[in-house]
Parts: sequence; C-alpha cells; structure tokens
Amino acid sequence: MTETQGHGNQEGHAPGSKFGMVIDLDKCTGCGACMVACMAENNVPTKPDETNKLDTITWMRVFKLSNGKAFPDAETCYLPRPCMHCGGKHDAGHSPCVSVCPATATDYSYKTGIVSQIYTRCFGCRYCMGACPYHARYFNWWDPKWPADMKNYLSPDVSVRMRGVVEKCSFCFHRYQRAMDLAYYEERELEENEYQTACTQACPAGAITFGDLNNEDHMVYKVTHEESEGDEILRGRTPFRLLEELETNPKVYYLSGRDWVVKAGNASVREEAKAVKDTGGHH
Amino acid sequence: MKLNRRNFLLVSTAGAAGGAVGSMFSPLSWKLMDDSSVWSQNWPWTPVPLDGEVSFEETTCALCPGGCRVKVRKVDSRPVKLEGVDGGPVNDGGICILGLTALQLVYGPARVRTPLKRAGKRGEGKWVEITWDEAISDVSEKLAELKGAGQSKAVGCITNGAKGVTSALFARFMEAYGSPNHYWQATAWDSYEENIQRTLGLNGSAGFDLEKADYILSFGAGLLDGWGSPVRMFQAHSKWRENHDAHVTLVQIDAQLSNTAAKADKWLPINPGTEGAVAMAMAHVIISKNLYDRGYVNWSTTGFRDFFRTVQTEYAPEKVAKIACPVQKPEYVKKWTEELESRAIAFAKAEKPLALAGKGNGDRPVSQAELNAIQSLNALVGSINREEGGMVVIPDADKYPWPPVVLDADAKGYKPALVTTKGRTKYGASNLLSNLPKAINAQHGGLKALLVAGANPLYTLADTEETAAALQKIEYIVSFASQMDDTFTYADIILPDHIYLESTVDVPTPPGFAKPVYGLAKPVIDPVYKTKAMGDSIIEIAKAMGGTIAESFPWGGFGDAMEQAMNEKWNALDSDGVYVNEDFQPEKEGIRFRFFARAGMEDRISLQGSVEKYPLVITPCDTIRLSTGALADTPFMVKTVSDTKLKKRELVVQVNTMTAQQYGFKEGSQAILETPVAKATVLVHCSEEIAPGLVGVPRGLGHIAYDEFVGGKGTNYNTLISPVQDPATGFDVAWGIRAKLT
Amino acid sequence: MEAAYQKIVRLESQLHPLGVQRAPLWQFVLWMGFFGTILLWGVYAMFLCWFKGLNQTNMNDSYGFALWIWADLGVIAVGGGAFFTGLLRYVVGKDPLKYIINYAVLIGFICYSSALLILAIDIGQPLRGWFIFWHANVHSMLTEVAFCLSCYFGVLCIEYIPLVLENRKIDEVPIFHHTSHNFHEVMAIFAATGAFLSFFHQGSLGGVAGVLYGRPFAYRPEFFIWPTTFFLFTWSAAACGPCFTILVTKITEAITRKKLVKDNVVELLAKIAGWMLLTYSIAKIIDTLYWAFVMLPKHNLHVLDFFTNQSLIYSKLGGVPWILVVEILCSVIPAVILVTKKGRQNKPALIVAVFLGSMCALINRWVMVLQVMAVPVLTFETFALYFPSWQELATTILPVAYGVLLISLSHRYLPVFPQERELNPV
Repeated sequence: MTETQGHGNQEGHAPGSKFGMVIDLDKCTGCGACMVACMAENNVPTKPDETNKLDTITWMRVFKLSNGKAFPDAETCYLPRPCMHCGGKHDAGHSPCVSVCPATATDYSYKTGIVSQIYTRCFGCRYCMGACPYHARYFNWWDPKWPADMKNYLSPDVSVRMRGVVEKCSFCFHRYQRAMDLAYYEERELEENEYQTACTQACPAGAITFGDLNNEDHMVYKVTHEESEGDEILRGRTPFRLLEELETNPKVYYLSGRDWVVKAGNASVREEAKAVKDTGGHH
Repeated sequence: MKLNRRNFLLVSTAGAAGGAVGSMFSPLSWKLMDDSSVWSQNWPWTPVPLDGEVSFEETTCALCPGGCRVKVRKVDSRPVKLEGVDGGPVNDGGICILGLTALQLVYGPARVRTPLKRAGKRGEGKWVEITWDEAISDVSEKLAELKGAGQSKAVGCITNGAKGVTSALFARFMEAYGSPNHYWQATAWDSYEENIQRTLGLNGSAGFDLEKADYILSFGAGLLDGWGSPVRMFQAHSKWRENHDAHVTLVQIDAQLSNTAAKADKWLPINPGTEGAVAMAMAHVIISKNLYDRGYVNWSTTGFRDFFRTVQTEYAPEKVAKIACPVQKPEYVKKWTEELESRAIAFAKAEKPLALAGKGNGDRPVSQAELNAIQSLNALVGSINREEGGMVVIPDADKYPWPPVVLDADAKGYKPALVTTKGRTKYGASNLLSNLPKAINAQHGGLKALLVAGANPLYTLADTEETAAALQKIEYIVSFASQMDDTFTYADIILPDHIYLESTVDVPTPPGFAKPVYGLAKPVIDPVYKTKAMGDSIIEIAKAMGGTIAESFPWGGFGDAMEQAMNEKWNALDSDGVYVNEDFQPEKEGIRFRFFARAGMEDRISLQGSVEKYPLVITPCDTIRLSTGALADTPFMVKTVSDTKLKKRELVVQVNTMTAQQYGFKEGSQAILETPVAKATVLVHCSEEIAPGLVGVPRGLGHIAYDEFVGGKGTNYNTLISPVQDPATGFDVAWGIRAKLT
Repeated sequence: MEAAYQKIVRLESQLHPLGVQRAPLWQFVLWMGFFGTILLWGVYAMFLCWFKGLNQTNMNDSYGFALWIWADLGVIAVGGGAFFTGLLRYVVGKDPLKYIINYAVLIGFICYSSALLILAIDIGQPLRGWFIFWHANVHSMLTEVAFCLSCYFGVLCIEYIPLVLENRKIDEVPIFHHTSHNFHEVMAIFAATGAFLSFFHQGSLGGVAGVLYGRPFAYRPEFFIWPTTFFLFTWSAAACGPCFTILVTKITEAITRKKLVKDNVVELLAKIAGWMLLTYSIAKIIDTLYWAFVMLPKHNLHVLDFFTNQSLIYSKLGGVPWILVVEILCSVIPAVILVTKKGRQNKPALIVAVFLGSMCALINRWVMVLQVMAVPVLTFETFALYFPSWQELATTILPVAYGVLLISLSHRYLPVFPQERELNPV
C-alpha cells in the first residue's frame, strides 16, 4: 500500500506527517467550547461532581493564567492545553510517556506524530501519568456512567473506556482514519481541511490552527517556521511551546503578545522570554 | 533411585521443566488468563455505541437568541455531535459551549419525557404520567372553567421574551382568552428598546456594527461572556485582533476582571453601578476638549444645551472619580482619572468609535439614566446610524400576517394588568415580570392559573423567596418546560416541549445584530420522547376550548402558523434555514437623538442595605460557561466551571485578598454570605481580579431540581437580591446588593 | 474439655523446633487473632478497591503514584537485606552471616510478596496485569522491574522452602529432609542469581524516577541507559536492607524476650551496612549536588522551587529543604555510628543507627515517588497535596500484619535462628 500522504514511512526515508497545533492565546476567550467539543466527540464521561480538578477528565483543558499582580494590575490569560503528542528528545519518538509504559499501551506513530493510547491494553499502572509534565493524561478512577439515555449520543468512532485505564487527547485520530479512508479510496492525498480535530473545528474564536507540521503547504508549518505566509496568524509574535527546555518536543505551539504569558510557558518563571520578535529598532 | 544430589537435581529439574511445559500445552491456564482480561475489556456496563451510516443535517440552534447555524452528525438516525456550519451571517462555523452540548438536553436525566400531572403535594416531586389528550383536556378545561366564572384576567402567562412565533401564539391566546397578564422578563436589550423610543423616537432594537468599529467602549458589557450573540461576538473579537490596517481598541469599563476585561486592550476598573457616571465624565472630557461631532450634534440631536450644562457642572472627571474609582488612594485616583480622560479623548478621535452597555451577558436590564449617558456618548461621536461601525436601530418586526384575533365580549373588555408601575414601557406591563411576584403577594387572589412557556421565573427573577411565595399562591400552574427546571417543581401539570432538534422553531434577529437576520430550526431528529412543540400545544388547547378562542387559532398546527408568520421570508428560511435582509437600511431621515439632562449620577440606582450592617457589596459575574437564563447548564458545561466558582456543592465567591484578610478569611474558608434578603453558606476565593470591598458572586448556579449534574449546586444569585425598579421604566435594574461575610 | 485442650497443646508443641521454648498456645492464638483482625481489615479494603475501583483511594491525576507505590518501593528497599546478606554469605563467603541469613530471607520473602500484593491492588485493571509480560515494552523501567521482581520472588521462594521443610515434623519425612539438605547445597547459585536480579530491579525502581526527563525534580544524568538513581537505589537497598534486617531482629528479640543472634553476627552485618551507608552517602551527596547546582540551573530552577510551606513534609521553612536534609542525615548518621566498633557495640546507638538506616530508604523512596508527583512542572499548576484514604492505609498495613503473622508462624515452627538454642538453654 502506498503512502497516500506522499511523505514516506518510518523506515528511515522521508519523514512522515507530524500533526500539530498553533493556539493563538490572544484570540482565546476562555469560552470552553474546545473542552466540551472534545468531550462530545470522544465519549468522555461526566460525573455528578466535577469540581475536583484533580480527578476530572478533560482531554482538552483550558487553564487560566495570571500575571500574579495585585488589583488593579491583575491580568489573566486563558491557555487551552490538549495532549502535546511529544516527539521526545531529538524528536525521535521517545515521548516521556511512551518510553515508560510497561505494556506498550501507548505508542508514538512515526507516520503521523500522534501518541496513541490503547484502552484495552492499558492495565492502569499510571506510570505514564507520572511521566507527563503537562498532566495531559487522565485516569478513570470511576467506572464511567451515562445515566438516563445519554448512551444514545455516544459516537461509535471512539472506544468507550472502562475504569482503571488511562485516556488522553488523541488529536481526534478517528477523524484522521476516516479522512484517510476516503482519500485512499479516491486515490488522492489528504487535504489540509479534511482532517481537523474537534476542538479546532469548534473554537468560535478561531484560535486553534491544526495541520501537518511537516507539510510546507499547511498553515501550521508556515506559522512555526515563521514564514511570511503565516503572518496573518503570527502577527509579529514568536511561537513558543510549553516547557520547551525540557526537550519533550511538544507539537502544540502558542502565540501571545504578552511577555508574562510567554514566560509562564517555561519550567521556571525566571526565564526571560519575549512574546514579540525584536525587529531591530522600529515598530 | 538413590536420593543424592545428582538425582535430586535431575528429578527436580525434569519435574519443573515437565510441569512448565505441560501446563503450557494445557490450554486451561492460558485461556483463563486471557478470558479474564478480555472480560475486563468487555464489561456489560461499558456501552458499545452502534455503528452505522454517517450523515449531517443542518438546522438553527434555538437554545439562546444567538441564532447560530449548526449541523448534527448522525449515525443512522442517532445524533452524536453538534458542530457549527461554515458560512452564514451569524456564526460562520463557530459554535458555543451550550450549542455543542445540546444532546445532553435531549437525552439527559433532567429531560421531561411525557406529560406529567402532579401527584402528592407541590414540591414533593411526585408525578404521574398522563397522555397528551389528558394533558390538553386538563388545561383547556381548567382555563374554560376560569373563563366561565368570569376569571379570565386571573390567568397569567410567562413566555421567553416577546419575540418569535411561539411567544406570539401565547400572546394571541391570552388576547383571545381575555387576560391582560402576559409577561416576560426584561433584559438589557429591552432597556435599549425603551431607550431607542425615548431618545430616537423609534420602535426598534439596538444593532451594533461591531465588526467594523475601531474603538469600543464597553460599559460592563460582557462581550465575551455571553452578551448578544455569543459566537458572533467571539468572531468579532478575533477580527479585531486580526485587523492589520487599524488597530481596534476595546476598553472595558467593568467592576471586575471579567473575561471581556481580561481580553480588552484596557480594563478601566470602576465601582459597580457607576457606569452612567463614568460615561458622563467621558462626555465631559469630549465636550471640554471640543472633540465631539459638531455636525451630528447640531443637525441630528436635540436637548444638547441642557445636557451640556449638566455634564459640565456635575460630571467633571475628578468629581466622578470620587464615587467611581475603586481605589481611593490619591496617586491611583490621579492615574485613574488620567486614564479615563485619555480613553475618552482616544474614543472621540477614533474613526469609528462605539459605546456599549449591558452588564455581564446582557440579560439584566440597565437603567435609562445609564443608557442615556452611554447613548449620549454615541451621539457625541456620531456613531448613531454611521455607515460603518456604528449603532443602528433594527425596526420592530411587522406583526405577523395572521387573521385578526376573534374576541368575545369578555375578551373585548378592558382589564388592568396585575402589574402596575410608575415607569413607562412600550409594551405596557408585559415586560415587567420582575414586578409580578410582589403584585401577586400583595393581592388577594391575584392569579388563579399560570402558563409558563419557555421561561423559568423561579430561577431568573430576583428575590427567589418572594417568587416562590407568589407561585405558591397560584393554584394551577402549567409548565411547558423540556427540562425538570426550578419552576417545574411548582407546577401542577407539565406539557413538555421538544428540544429544538426535534422541532420547527423560528429564531428572530439576534440581539445586537446590525441587520435583520432570521433563523429557522427544522427537525433533524425524530422526537425521542412523548413531547410536543409548545406552539402545537397552545394551538391544541385553544382548539379544545372552542368558541372564539378556537376561531383565533385556525391553523392545522404550529408549522402552518409559522409559515404564515414568516411570510415572504419563508422560502429562504425553508431552504437555507436563514434569511438575511441584506438591503436593510436603518431609518435616518428626520431622526434626531434626544439628549437627556437627567442622565448618569442623579438617578443612580441605589443599593439595598445599610453600610454599617452590610459593609460589602455583592457584584455578580457572568461567564459563557454558566447559563443564567431559563435553561440551565448542561452536565458538560458544569464540568468546565472553575473550582474558583463552585466547589463540591458550595458557591465560591471572589473576594479581594486584602478584604479577605481583613475579615479573617483564607483561601477556601467557609463563610456565611448575608444580604438584607437572604443568606447562604459559601466558600471564599482570594482574588486580585476584583476590588476590595466587593464580593463577586457567579451567576448561573444554585438550580434546584434538574439532575445530579446540575441541580443543588451552589447558590442562585437571584436568591440574594431583590428587585430595584428603574424609575423610568419599572425594570429591575438591581446591579448588586449590600452584604456581609461572617 | 481440659484434657482435649492439653492434648492439642502437646501435639502442637511437637511442631516446635527442638530444644527451644515457645510461648503458651493460647497466647500465640490471641496474638495471631489480633494481627489476623488487622489483616482482615486490610483484606476488606482490598476487596473494596478491586470491586469499586481506585476511587476508593485519595489518588488523583496529579498523584498517580501514592502511598502504595511508596510502600512497594520502600518494602523492596528494606527487603534488600535478603539479597545482600545472601550475596555476602554465599558468594563473598562471610560465614557468620549464616546465623541471620534465614531471617533475612524470611523478611525478604514477606517484603516481596507484599510488594506483589500491593501491585495487584494498585493497578487499575488487575486482571490485565500480565500484559506487562505479554506486551512488554523493553524501554520501560517498570517492565524490567516486573520481570526481575517476579523472578526474584521465585528465588526467594526457593530460599524459603528449605526453611519450611526443616520444621521438626516435616523434616522427619525422608524425602523432605533430603530435599531441604540438597537445596542448601545449591543455595549459592540461587543467592548469586538473586543478587544479580536484585541489582537490576532495585536499580530499575530507581530508574523509574530517574528517567522522567519531563520532571526536573526526578530526572538524573544517564550512564548508558541508566540514570544515576538506578545505582543509588541498588546501593541504598544494599545498605539499608541489612539495617532493616537487624532492626526487625532486635524487635523480635524484644518481643520474644530472647537473644536470637549472637552479637558478632549482628556486628558483622552492621559493619558492612555501615560502610555501604557511608559510601552511599558520599555518592548520594555528590549526585544531589550535581542535580542541584548543575542540572537545575540549566532550566533556571532552584532546589527550593520543589518545596512548599503549604505542606509539612515539603516545608522549606528558613530556606532549608527539610526532607532532603533529613533524608541525607538518615544515611550519614547511621554510617558514622556503624563504621566504628564503639558505635556498633553500643546497644542504643546500634538501634538508632539501624532505625535511621531503614528510614533512610523509606524517606528516599517517598521523596523519589511522592514528592515527584506533588511538584508541578507547569508554572500555572500548583502543588498537589495528598493524604491517603483509610482504604489505602488499611491495605498498606495489611502486609505489615501479614508479615507479623508469617514471622510469628515461622519463628514458632521453624528453626529460623540457628543460634537460638545455644543462646537460650532450656
């Protein structure tokens, strides 16, 4: 079977796809649509009390950052955080979580750059959760329940989980599969807009851009390579990633015009970080 | 065999190896192990959704007035996901947190699945299922009985606003029946309607061309917190950020760092309730610096001279700072005043400035005094009816071309509504629902029956205790609710409505839109349960009552009434689901804006409670994640609510760190929040996003009934306050209340 | 009635090892009943966790590893006395240790079976636990742990079986007598195998934390594929395991009010443990300094960033990372005591030293598991604080109760201490 993507396979030839995201924090309003779109798309359960944010399952989670100043100089910024699908050190596929799973229930795909999760193989040791510095992995501490007739809105594209297993954002991999099936059937390549995650699609502010970081025609490529064609999204800002210095090589890039937000993306707030490129002298 | 070491080793090794090999060949242990793990992967209580053919169907979301075009993804006939539809004038692919989770309203535990009749006492929660025939007869017989006894005016009806075909059918019913008591709850948009009538002499709604404005002064309007058409606002905000040619500035004048304030270019913090005064102060600056649009003011306004005098003498920024600036330290007051002045100047100098009002998500009315001041700013800079980026008036829709209502002698006679007020509104008493509970409680035998159609007054009206007492006095309450909401618990009979996905619903022009846009929802799934569209129910009730009432409802069903109502728009609505009046031009000829001298501070709406007893002030906060209207949050929405607003079942209030310390509270401390109206147990969150002396209370929590996901969580803000009448209109314009935390 | 009771007592006494006195049967039954009740409480909690799920614990998404994993790592560390004493006795040839090796093995057996039991409760899907063997990921430290731990448990069983077969009555059966005799002859192989396996799984448990390059608190530099924590964990297990063996021996002596092992044996083991602790302390301090002053500054981080005054355990009052300091003191102080003859021979000092030595391993495992979980990495997340639920406590006390029961049974019926007869003439 030929690679319809046209970018080779993992056996040392041309690199496969690297699906990733650019999230514009200046557009994000913290509305939470991405969070619930993901829940609705991926059969994420809900329990009566979800106020303990340490055991609530939100594959996509919107954090509220603060500049730490007192009233009236306080500023806040919302930051949506899906799974980073880390490439790991040297972007070689040794994501922090993939390296440590003892049952190979999570794996890095060189074809798509996506870190998968096999719910039926996971036996819930939670080592991957300890390894993930982004806390992007969630455990089913309870048996998920769908009271009344809520089972009826479950999608057949995503396995429904049982208790005792870990789950996380999959960059809506089932949408990739469906899109690829169609592209393969029609003997053509996948278009940029054919495979988009639920959160990207739902965001009413248009703050999320999703695509193949290895495909130079895709907007995420243009933005992360700071090309002029990406200017409409970049608008003079420098993309940054969370915890970049830990060499996890995450696939989610953020844009913010505020220095304190960029700083908050590091492991230590002491690091000097600039939101906007220094254009050397003039505005 | 001798048992020496050699033999021992031989025997034990052979035995062990043989045993190991043997058990490997026996399938039993492998099978058992494998079976047990497979069983854990296929627990019978873990659902396996059925697969099927995927299809998409489009409709218009009717859960809020926003009017977004959405599509439902179906697997065979089962709906599994809601998504936004690309293109279209309202949302262009976007969808909000409520729209996305509509399926939980369809299938959730709070759904009312069949008509119900109360068994047991009110509030016991005991219901018995009845058929639709029984339900319709029960209601029509009761109403007929009351009319026959000359009690037609003792029947009331509460709808979800005035607009839309369903509300119009209920209004029509009340007219044919002969009762003046049709009510709905006024919002900030009603305040705008009243103001438009007063200042521009027009009957219409406010529209704002926000996408093209370049300097927006928002006086507490939660533009990104649910104001207007939420998705449209998010997209407008994104457009502002994308604008290369002109940097669009949003200045949020707000008591708290709401999400809108957080994303604004500048947050000017003020004391709550001083929006009008601050607007007047800005007017003062604009006039003093001669930056106002002389052409517009001279040719298209009246009353400027008196206004000018009031502004210049009463509203100097330094004077206003004394009441509006939240931190009274001299250096800060100076900085604040300078900021106010510079922003007013920038506003006036901008090409397309626009000033907006409507606290929070806009479902609470704003006083005319405040609106006068804010609209005056628009007048001063010429934004009213400006070509681009300005404020326009969308004229009230024509009455539907339905046949005239047939009235009998009883219906023809004049009857005063229960609610009276000193104020004046263009809808008479109808948009004064906030005054109804008091009116009922003050009277003996005010209302004998009440139809609640798409509203949830027990939740949405201020002073829940008063509302509950009023409901208790009404012997027959009919609810058309689709969810087991708060008012549902007081009802005697339920005729459950469809969810919009199962029904034909019209969505009138969303509030704040700059041109008329109509939406139509058509059924995309078969009704899941034994529910019926409210429009159909009222038609059937009318028909069952016979006589002139039946004659006033000549249609076969709700669909026919809808089609007739939509008139020339029907074809476009039927095929595309949306109708836009692209050629719309606002009425400008001869329209003059009237400045009112009595604006801003003089009529500042006072707060209840004495400062000594209640040293703090409650100010409500809205977010898009908490629905504050008739419809409560879905389970997924509640899941996204921060633990700084709700913790387990307790409301969390926002208190400035210094204030918390002053009263001996730490992060997470439990406290009693008491107002002159009620008290509640809450938790304290120490925040820098609110000024000292204030208590930020999230709105949208504290529902009773519903289900385990939504019900019984937190406290309803409306429980803690009571209505404060705007002297001009009689609307409830309470923007807070005094409180204490112990 | 009385006669029947006496008969039972007499029969039961025939199960005791020769030439030693044992407590009256009724006392023993009461003792067992008491710990049996605690065991049953733990078993109840265990079934709650299996049938209701892990929501019975206070673990959460930030605290995926909590009390149980600490107990696992801790119990394996202090059970390291088994492999190290075995190595010393059978491979290095320290003969006097043969008088304490039985007990070390028994303690090891209890520790490792407890660890396996806790793991069976701790994983979310116990019925799929065998996937760790079937779908093994060779890159994961836990895979290595699972394989080596299971194999080593097998070794411990083999080391324990001869002791069981030496029960007076069982030994009378010729085949069992010969079997146990022959086991003893080949024990060196098993001891060597055990030491080899232990080196790896003790180390891999350290590797569990050390490979987490997403967590600057836990991450350590690597020698080939192993982080420094790999070697430090093996070292500390070898150092602290014997301390624990000595500690439990002393406790047993106190409870049975008998001397069970001669001083020279204890002192030999203590001396070796002391030197291990000393060398371990040096290695640990070097590793900590490198981590604190070379690795952390690369990310602009500071040691105190990982401590918070919100929690008593992770307190940084006065700018001191207290638990880290206490942990290091718990290896330095016993080291200093045990390397000197005077220290070893001073009874109170010895007890203090072996107690602190055991604590050293336990605190170290706590820091490398629970503090790793508590410390946030993203700047906008906060410290997660945790306190175990009663179910977690009950299931952690369960192995302790089980240990007491097994030790009691073993001591009563098996010749665990070869020198007991000599030290306690009847």
